[in-house]
Amino acid sequence: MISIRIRYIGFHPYVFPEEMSFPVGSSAGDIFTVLAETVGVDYDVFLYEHVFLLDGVRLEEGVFLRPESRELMIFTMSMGG
Amino acid sequence: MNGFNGKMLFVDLTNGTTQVETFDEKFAQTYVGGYGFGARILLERMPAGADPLGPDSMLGFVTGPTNATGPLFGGRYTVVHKSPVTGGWNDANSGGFFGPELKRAGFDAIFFTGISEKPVYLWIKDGEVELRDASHLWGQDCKEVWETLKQELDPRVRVATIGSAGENLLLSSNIINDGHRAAGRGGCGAVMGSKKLKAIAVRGTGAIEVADKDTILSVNQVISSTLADPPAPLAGYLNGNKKWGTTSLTYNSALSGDSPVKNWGGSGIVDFGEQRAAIFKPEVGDQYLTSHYGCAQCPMRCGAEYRVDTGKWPLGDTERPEYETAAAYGCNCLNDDFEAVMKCNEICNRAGIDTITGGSIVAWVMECYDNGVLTKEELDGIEANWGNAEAIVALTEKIAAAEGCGKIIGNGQLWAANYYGKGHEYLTTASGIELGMHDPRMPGVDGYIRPFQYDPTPGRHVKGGDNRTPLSDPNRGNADVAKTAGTEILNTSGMCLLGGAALPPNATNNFVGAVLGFDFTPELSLTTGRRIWMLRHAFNLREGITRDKMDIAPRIAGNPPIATGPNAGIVREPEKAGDLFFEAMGCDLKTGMPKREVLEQLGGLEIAIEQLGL
Ligand code: SF4
Repeated sequence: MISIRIRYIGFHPYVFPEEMSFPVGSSAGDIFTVLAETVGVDYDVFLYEHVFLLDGVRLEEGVFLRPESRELMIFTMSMGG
Repeated sequence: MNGFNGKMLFVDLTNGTTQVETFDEKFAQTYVGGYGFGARILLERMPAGADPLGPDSMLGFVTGPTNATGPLFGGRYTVVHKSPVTGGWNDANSGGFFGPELKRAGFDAIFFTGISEKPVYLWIKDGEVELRDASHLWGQDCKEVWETLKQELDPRVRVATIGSAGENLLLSSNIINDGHRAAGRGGCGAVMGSKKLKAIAVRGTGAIEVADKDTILSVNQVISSTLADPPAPLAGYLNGNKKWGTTSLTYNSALSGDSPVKNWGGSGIVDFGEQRAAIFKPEVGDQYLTSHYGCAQCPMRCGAEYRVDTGKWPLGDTERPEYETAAAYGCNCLNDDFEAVMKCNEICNRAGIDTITGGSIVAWVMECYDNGVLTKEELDGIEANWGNAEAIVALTEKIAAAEGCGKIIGNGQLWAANYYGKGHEYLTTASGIELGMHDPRMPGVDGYIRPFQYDPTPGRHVKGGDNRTPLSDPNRGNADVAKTAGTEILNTSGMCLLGGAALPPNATNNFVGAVLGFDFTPELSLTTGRRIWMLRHAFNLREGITRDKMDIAPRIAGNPPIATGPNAGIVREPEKAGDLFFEAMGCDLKTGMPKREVLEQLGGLEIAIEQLGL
């Protein structure tokens, strides 16, 4: 397990812990599942609402948590304006 | 008649004459209002190939059924004309109070033709119409014109006007009403300036009948309770908008890949960085806040008045820059000086410059300068380095004054590149117009790329485009058409797109039906939205703007892809998205020409069939 810093920059009323632990090798899907469960939102809705950056790189299919991973930033998807 | 006065005013500025024409319920139900009315009228009455800045060019100010009839968020009117930027159809809507006031003054729309010999303004008071000399207003900025006319005419007068940019026929010019609300895109200020029409002043006390007040009230009640206590997951978005308007998003968007960065060539998280982006956290601007404001009929009141007494540019009373302005003049220029953004906002509002175009021009100049394509000498001594706040303000001042390089760059990126004969590789335009500040390369929002390239008003983020259905899904084309048709109805009805999140399902259709007095079902709404889109599209086809002539700068679609950050490696497929959309619309995939039977099925498009020779 490694501990990842979570930074949520969204306008949804979701509250995340500042740090969360995941097994090394977790896939993007594994992480999204845990995050969606943490805030109690449907997985697809949660994914649609956000963009995820793991250490500045987009977290998506094919990206896995490595021992050196440090920070996950979660951004709200724009609704225009 | 329900929902409208049933009257349009036609003004011939060459002869100084006015004429009132009437329309009936059927016309309103067929074309809704706004640019639905506008496209129907211009397609019929404006000659094909007319010079947008010439006497045959028509300029319309059109209200919608929700204006002055009670629906919450229903305060927006639309300016329509042929764009001197794209050479095709243009519509631009604006909030404030001008639209509802025009309707209360007795007219649902005004269409201008001709060119006045000297500057004039139109004064409408409760059905009385007068063209007046505007020599004393010519040269005044948009805020000054409103103040002058308030003193001269009526303290409650509402005014739509051009500033120096429109007077000087700059293609970045817009029309400003209520001092700072903008009908922004497509060069409408230049069209108004070419007619020597400085302003329209309206004052009205009339009432508009509606068919079904109870339905309007009940939908309003749902909206009010949603806004009072927004349910998750809308709470953050709506509360953010109530408190900070569109700027609630600016910081988030600068880093998430939503805002374009470095003239659409960079990545916020890498090239701009969190520290610099932090200047756009919404609470940063609160130190300047004096009050909140909203448009007519708006319960959200997303705007704010600021007062800036200190710093490099003590502006006094000003307005909070909207998201689009802050992104265009902020991260897209790598500018982290919020005071400079406020200053540019004020310059643009006074001079009547579209801030999306203004900021995008500066970003293009900076990239050209950075690559040695434009020199300090060509820029009147301005050192246009990325993020140089003084240079950003100086370039914007040059445009506002139409002076030196401002006369050139003030016509937009493409016009300037053609004038200089260089810099085309750094253009970030679609069919010649700069783009709204939402990057279609952002993960999950590929829907913007299709309207950016292929809407009859290219470069807009407010014209539909489906984000939820993958391109590989056979239903994508239909989903895009449905979303676009829905947006056509929302826009033409006079509703505000920003309020959309607070609306219960089917609210706009229910409002339109209740105001006009007919059963505006979702099916009928879809047909009507498609009809209105077809009218705008037909206007372009008649001008020779076939689908294959509508282009977009390659980098906007990820050619080449961004190297870092959230949008890294993403390549969009505008051609494929366009194919699916045009197919679902019933148009030829190469030219975009609709099939005659499709137009016949949609109905109300006899004028398009005739004008396109189908
Ligand atoms: S949400 Fe903002 S722009 Fe829209 S109507 Fe309200 S105040 Fe005007």
